[in-house]
Amino acid sequence: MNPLKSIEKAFESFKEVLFEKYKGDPAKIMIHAGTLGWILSSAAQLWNVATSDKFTSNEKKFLIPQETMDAVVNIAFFYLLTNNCKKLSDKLVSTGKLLSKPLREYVKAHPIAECKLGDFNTNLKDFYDSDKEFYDKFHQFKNGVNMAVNTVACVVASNILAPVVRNKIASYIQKDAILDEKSHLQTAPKNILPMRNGVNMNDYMRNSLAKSGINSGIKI
Amino acid sequence: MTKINLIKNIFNMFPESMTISGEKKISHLKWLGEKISTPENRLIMGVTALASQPCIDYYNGDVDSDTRKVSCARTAAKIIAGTITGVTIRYASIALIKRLSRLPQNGKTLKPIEKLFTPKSADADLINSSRVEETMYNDYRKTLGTGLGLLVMMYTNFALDVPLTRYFTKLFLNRGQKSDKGGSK
Repeated sequence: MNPLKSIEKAFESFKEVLFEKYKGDPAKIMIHAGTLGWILSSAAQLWNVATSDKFTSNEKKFLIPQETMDAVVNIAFFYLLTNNCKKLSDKLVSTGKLLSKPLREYVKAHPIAECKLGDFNTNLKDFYDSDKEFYDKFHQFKNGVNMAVNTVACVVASNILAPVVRNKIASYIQKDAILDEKSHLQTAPKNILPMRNGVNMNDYMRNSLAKSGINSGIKI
Repeated sequence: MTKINLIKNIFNMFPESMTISGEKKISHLKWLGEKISTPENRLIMGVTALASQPCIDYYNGDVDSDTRKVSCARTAAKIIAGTITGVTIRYASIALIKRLSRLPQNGKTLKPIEKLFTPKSADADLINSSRVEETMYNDYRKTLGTGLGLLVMMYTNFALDVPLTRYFTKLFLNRGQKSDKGGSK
């Protein structure tokens, strides 16, 4: 087969898959793009620390686990919280538990015996989606609710929960490093400078900033 | 299974029926679903991050006061730099993809480059005639644009964010030191 043809075919399939998967679900785009953003920025951050010759191997021993921990916390909090909140808001609307007044009136005016409003397994789309009047209002409302819930979840996950947990972990690592440093100073001969001179989080921040300018959890 | 149960349990905590009745509330929700996408989301994240994260760092009782100041300045700088580049690149990438994924309107023929990212299954007549279908098609374009933006940001994260973060951090630290000196006089 002509390689150009197969590339063209793969490109067409790529567009079709994206179109089918993401059309009409803006909240899903935000969750996937946000998670991918965290993964890419964390990977770039780790790669930069691991391959940089500006850090000594001892500094790397400290920085790489810290960066990895940051990445895990950021990605896990973001994905788990936003994805589960979206699933919940999807369920609330699709089962008819949460509806706008016009949609509630529409469903009341067009009752279907099998459609049990508020039941976890009900999906209003299965019963009413063929009706254009319902379809437009339902999708607009569902996307709006999802976006509102998702925006709040993104803010809580990335700006409140993740930094608090990161700080706790960083302070634990800092205390551990200082204890390690103190024991090193006590045992080292006086004429030999300690390997990590006066290590604390402040120095690490200043040093890493001066050397590379990168920061933990920088987000793209 | 556990995950579904968790969502089901939370779902069952909500009242049987909740109705949003205000016209304004409904139109705000509609606006959110249609207009808010990744650049706006990144801007909201940046503004709320600036309001919360430097404070979390500044009042972090687990570290000494010097560490707190540096950490606070660095976090604020990182958020401002990241938000400026993140929002700009997302907007630009989505605008570019929109230009490259046009649909024929009023029988006009498009150049091949203008429909480079237009999926073959996109029904131009349906999308042009329905606002919901148009929004759905725009969701696809925003997905592609955001993906492109993320790739660009893999590079700009270092090329732009790093010098900007460094600049803002130095600026904030210097301002902080000046105000400390002013306060001690």
